Amino acid sequence: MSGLGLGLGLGLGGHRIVDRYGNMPATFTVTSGDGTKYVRVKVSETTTVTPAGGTSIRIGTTGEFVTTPLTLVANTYQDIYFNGAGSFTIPRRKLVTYLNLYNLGSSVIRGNITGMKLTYLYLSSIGSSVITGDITGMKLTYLRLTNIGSSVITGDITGMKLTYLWLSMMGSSVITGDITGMNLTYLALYSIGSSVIRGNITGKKLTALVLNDIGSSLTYGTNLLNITNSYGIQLLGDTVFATAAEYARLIHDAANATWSGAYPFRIDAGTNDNCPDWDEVKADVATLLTKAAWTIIPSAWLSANGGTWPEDWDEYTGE
Amino acid sequence: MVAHGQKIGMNTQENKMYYIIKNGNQVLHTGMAEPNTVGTQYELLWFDTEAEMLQYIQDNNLEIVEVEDEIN
Repeated sequence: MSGLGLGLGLGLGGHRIVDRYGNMPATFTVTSGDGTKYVRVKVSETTTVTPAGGTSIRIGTTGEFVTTPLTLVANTYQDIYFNGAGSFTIPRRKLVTYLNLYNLGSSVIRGNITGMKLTYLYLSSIGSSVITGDITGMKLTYLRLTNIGSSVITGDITGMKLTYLWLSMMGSSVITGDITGMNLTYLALYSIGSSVIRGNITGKKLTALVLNDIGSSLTYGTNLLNITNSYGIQLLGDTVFATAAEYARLIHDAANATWSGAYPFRIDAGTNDNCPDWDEVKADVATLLTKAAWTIIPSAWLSANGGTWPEDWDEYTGE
Repeated sequence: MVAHGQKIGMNTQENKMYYIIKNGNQVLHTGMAEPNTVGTQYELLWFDTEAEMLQYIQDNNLEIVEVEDEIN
């Protein structure tokens, strides 16, 4: 009963955020723009984007930059190129369902995403640009925040139906939430600072799994892995699963996975406390060696449990 | 470096060495790790220093086609 109450509370809170801010304009303020960079959006209904204060815009790579309103067609990817200092505005934030800012170089833009009804948010390598806002209550299926500098994105992802989650180098941003039950096909959490992502990695058809410095906030169940991403499978930094059984399952899943290329399987962290019985997992490791380009396991595991090396493991002899 | 016969303990920076994973004349990956903790289907070479590793790559005209390993 209490769980139901909590769930309703979170949901309503999210709706309140969208409702309160959704009718506010989505204004992007430009302090530096040379016309080569863009903001990619989708909107849920046909609307306008209006430049002001000296900024000129165009939709796409052709045509003249103008200082008059342009039409944004519904449900279509549209790149808003911006040139010169000033701003441009979409009349209501809740119309914006897709937002992508990438590799902005020396262009500098500011904006607030709170109240947008985003299903897709991609912010990556945005330099000195500052995007702020709260994603709580959005129905995101794709979330990537990487190398976002001084931008501050906050919110709770619990209950979202994410299929893609990549958080890294997020500065002061704080994203929290439980990923249990999400049908993720991609999970990368790397240097996420004060953010806390928790839950159980299970039942997911992951194409990549990268976890760095997230402590023990996640547990590992069993997954149908299909490794098609060059990051492969990597547990780095202080990332640990609490039990040996979880590592044994991960190694087993990786050994039984499809690997489409020469990608790594790498576990840097791990102690004797969570060391799988080496002889039990040896056959899986031997299989894994034929699939992953290279396999790294914690040395603590190899000096414990009396196990023996898998055949063909390239053992260093010190010579 | 790790002396011959030395027991490898917990991961520490001191115990790590540089390594190359190569396939023919292509370098698939370079990295640092404790000896014996890396297994691969390709050729694995260990070096005491980064300089030695880079010199080996240069001397043998190896092509670096490194698989992406660091996430940004």
